[in-house]
Amino acid sequence: MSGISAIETAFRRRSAVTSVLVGYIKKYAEDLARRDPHYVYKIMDFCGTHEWTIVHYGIRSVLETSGIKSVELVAGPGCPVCVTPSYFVEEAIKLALEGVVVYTYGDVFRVPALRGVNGARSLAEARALGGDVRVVQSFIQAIIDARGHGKPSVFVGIGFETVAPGYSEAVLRGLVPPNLKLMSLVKLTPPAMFYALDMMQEKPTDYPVSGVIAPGHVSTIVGGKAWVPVAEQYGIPVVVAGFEPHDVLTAIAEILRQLRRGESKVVIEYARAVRWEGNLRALSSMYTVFEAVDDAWRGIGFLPKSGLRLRGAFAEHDAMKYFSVPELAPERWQYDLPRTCRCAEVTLGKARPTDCPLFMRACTPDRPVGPCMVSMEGTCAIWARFGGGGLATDVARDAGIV
Amino acid sequence: MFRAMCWAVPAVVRRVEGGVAYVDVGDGIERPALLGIDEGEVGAGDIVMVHAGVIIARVDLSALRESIEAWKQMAVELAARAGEDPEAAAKEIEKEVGRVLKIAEELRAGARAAT
Repeated sequence: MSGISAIETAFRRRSAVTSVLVGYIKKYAEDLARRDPHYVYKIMDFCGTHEWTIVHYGIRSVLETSGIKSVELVAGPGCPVCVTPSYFVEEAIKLALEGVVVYTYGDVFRVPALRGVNGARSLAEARALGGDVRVVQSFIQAIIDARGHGKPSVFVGIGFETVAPGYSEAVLRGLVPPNLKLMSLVKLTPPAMFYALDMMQEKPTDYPVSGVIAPGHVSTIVGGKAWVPVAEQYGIPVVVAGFEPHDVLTAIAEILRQLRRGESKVVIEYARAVRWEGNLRALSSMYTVFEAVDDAWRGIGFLPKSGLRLRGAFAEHDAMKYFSVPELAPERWQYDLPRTCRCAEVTLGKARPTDCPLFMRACTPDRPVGPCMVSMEGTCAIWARFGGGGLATDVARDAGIV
Repeated sequence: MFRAMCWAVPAVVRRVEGGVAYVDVGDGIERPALLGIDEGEVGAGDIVMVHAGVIIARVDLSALRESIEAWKQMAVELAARAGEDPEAAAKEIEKEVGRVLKIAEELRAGARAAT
């Protein structure tokens, strides 16, 4: 048996560690319920990969079947493909149809734009129309490929803080060939977390967010310290967690432990990879090459200092400048999700995929309407694939199994 | 592998040459990865997290000890509450996590596939 699947099997067997963690969560939840038996403690899992772990391993079901009703896990904005403005996808499609070689990740390749360009609504469709769109797994792969052919090329560089050091290191080490330009669409996560928590406070759906599971791999770069303002400003516990099911359960237990004691601290559960100060080398490289700008989030709008663009000193690598792609200004930004698609609310943790009228009807992983149904970090795509939110139970009930 | 943006995969460093690390994610194929951490911090045999072709962190297995201690403490507390043997509960956790650590060591030695 391989390494990862051995760990997976250990969890599936309802291992000793799982039982202890669930037992502990139950104990804390019962203690908290004595204060108010009806209160629901909402815990936001910011990162799409955490949501993947939660749904894939059925952590919501584990809690529910263990009789823990007062804890609700809410997915947050941690899906970069979901929040990349449609405008930039359309601009990339345009470049592909004009003969520029477009490199990007697999999920960006499939994400639907709001408006079609000459009949193409995604980079995949642009390729079907003859555009040269190539799927890669990293910037370095695009660099090696582009060096080989020498044609004008663009790398559509989306992602969070985790990808930025890869882009900046390649630039600083002089690895990027002159024919390859970078369209930096990197987003920064702390501003989005602030916005999501503000929204939940200003326009509460029911209960506010009581704790946050902070993104593990983003935190390898930004460090545990990046989340102190969240804990302090909202007075809630924040736990930086890894991506194994035990990591997520430990994070939930720690959040409830702090809530019971009235604490609101930042704790690093993912200590095997995350340091309090973060990865200083990566941060330094990232901010040498990039600067933080006000940036648009799909379906949400502009958030202050929430995106990264190449600094003037590195303009020679900038696809926006080289291919004359106008920057998206706040006055030009328009709501960019299809009508009735609730991706923005799902992204902000205000709605569940099953609340959307399109979910698994008009919008499926095969024919996604909104961006949340595309990437494996999109909450809708994860729920669709693994039956989150009671979907599997509904199907089982319809089939007369349960 | 490398399938989602925040998805980092564990890999074993085989060698570091000219600022590029060659890593094995468990399939025996060496792939180049850019160093997102200091070159002196990583060497052959280290387990690292690789994200979109960049090494973003070195995995510190000793930090797992903290998790194990915390879990053991929880197990002891729960067992005591339920009137069970706290020592046996702690041993059970130790045994189980020991198994996972053994897998990690095997990964490190290249004796086992990562994925």
